[in-house]
Amino acid sequence: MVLSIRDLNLTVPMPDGPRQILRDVSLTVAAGETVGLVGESGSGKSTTARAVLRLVPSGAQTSGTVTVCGVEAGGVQEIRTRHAAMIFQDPRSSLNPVRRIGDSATERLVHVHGVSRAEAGRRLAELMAEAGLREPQRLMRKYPHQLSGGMLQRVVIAAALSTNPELLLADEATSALDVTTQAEVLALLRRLRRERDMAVLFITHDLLLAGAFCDRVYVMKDGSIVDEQPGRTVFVNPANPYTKALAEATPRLPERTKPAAGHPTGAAR
Amino acid sequence: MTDALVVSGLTKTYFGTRGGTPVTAAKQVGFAVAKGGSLGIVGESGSGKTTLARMIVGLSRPDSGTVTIDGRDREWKARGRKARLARAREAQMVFQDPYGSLDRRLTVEDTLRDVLRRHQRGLNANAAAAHVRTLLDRVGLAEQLSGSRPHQLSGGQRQRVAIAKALAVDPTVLVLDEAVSALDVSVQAQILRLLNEIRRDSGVSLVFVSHDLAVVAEVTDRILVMYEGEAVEYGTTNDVLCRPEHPYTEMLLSSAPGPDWRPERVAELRAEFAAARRSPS
Repeated sequence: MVLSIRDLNLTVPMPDGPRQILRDVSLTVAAGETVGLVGESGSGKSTTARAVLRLVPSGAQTSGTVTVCGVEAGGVQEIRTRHAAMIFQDPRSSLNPVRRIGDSATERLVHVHGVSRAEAGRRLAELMAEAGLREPQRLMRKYPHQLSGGMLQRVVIAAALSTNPELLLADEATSALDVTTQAEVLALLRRLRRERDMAVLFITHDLLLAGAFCDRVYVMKDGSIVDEQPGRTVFVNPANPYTKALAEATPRLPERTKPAAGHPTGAAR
Repeated sequence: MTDALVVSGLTKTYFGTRGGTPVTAAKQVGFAVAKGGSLGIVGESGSGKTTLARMIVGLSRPDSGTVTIDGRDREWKARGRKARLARAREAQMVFQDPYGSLDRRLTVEDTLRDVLRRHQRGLNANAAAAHVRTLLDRVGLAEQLSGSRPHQLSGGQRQRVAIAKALAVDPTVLVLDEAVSALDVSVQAQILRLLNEIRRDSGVSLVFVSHDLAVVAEVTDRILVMYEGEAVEYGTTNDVLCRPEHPYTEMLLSSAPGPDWRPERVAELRAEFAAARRSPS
């Protein structure tokens, strides 16, 4: 198992007494597997992902074990540098607005891994090209405000993969993008995951997206995991009542009368 | 059926900073919404859908073209209090983030009273209180919440307040710009149900702007697909979603996740589509 979380509990102090955010959360992600973690806001899905990198709220009490590639939480420095990388909803929050994109995105390689600037730049450019960005060298000299959200998210993904992580934590990584851009970014993520046999923990509020993109899906509610099932079964009447309620609340497109294969072309007006 | 809203030939170009290329946000866009009808405007970001919504309510001024509500041309230079208020009653707007349209110092009741006071001068306190209760009831908010301020409410409750505020003036057209996009799915489903009820009961016409086709399908009977400021497809919701004619609509549809989803298909369609646009037949 690349990621294994067992009986994770997390309690944070609040003005009106301690509040338990996570209750006995247990989950696993194997190499090459994409696992979805779905829930509504406040369900604890982001807290779980952040706990993997020990990004917990200050003063939080935790119990349970988090193991990444056999390394326990005691070696969190090693987990952060060698084994895992995380991408967030807003790529602008991971890039310094007043520095060139290339400098921000290679920072980890240069300062943590001791790679020379030139070599780091070369590696990033290669990954950016793989991520479907044209002229990566030119883009690296730009500032975040000069690029669209979809392009920046590709830059951030390239930066996250530049250290060859075995585990990628994606926290609502495509939620702020257009549905079309989301599909393109996820197609890219799927391809890169296959090529590298990487494990992905994919956090989203969108049950249908998780079902379509992930091999396996965990559903969280009020800090607990309430359901686990293969991704495909999300679409065929889930057994768990909460998952079912979520699936029913999500609007769906009407069934197409004809298959998408024979779509008309050249109708540009 | 009479048309509540008629838009014709709307054009708007943004000239950016010096040296930047001008962006056409709307190019000869035209459509009509029947009284009690509901139109969805869909497209990617930058397609011009928000600009269109803003021109309907009058937050943005078109370069050319007309917006007619209830048979009256929207005057772009309405003068005086009375004209401005009449104009406000024609169209109201609800935004993605209700914080932006709610005064955080005012309670829910004061927010609604404030609108009523402006639009119905001489309304006595009892009648106003009764009207506020009716509005809260219509958007499904408990009366106990009438003393709450925006920060004490959940996102879904705040959006209900914003909708109640818009309905307070009994508008002909209600424009919603990504109004449910930031909400959890269970809350989103409630608001969508609410919008359908309101439309049925009050006969208000809806213009629903969203990037999410599945959401639009729930509340509209017609859909306009925008691409780079152009309306590339316009038809009944069922036709557009089940039998799309334009490759761009096809691309939007194939990006919605479902069983047997192939995100790779979107990039392929985009490439085909771009090629078709470069060499118009």
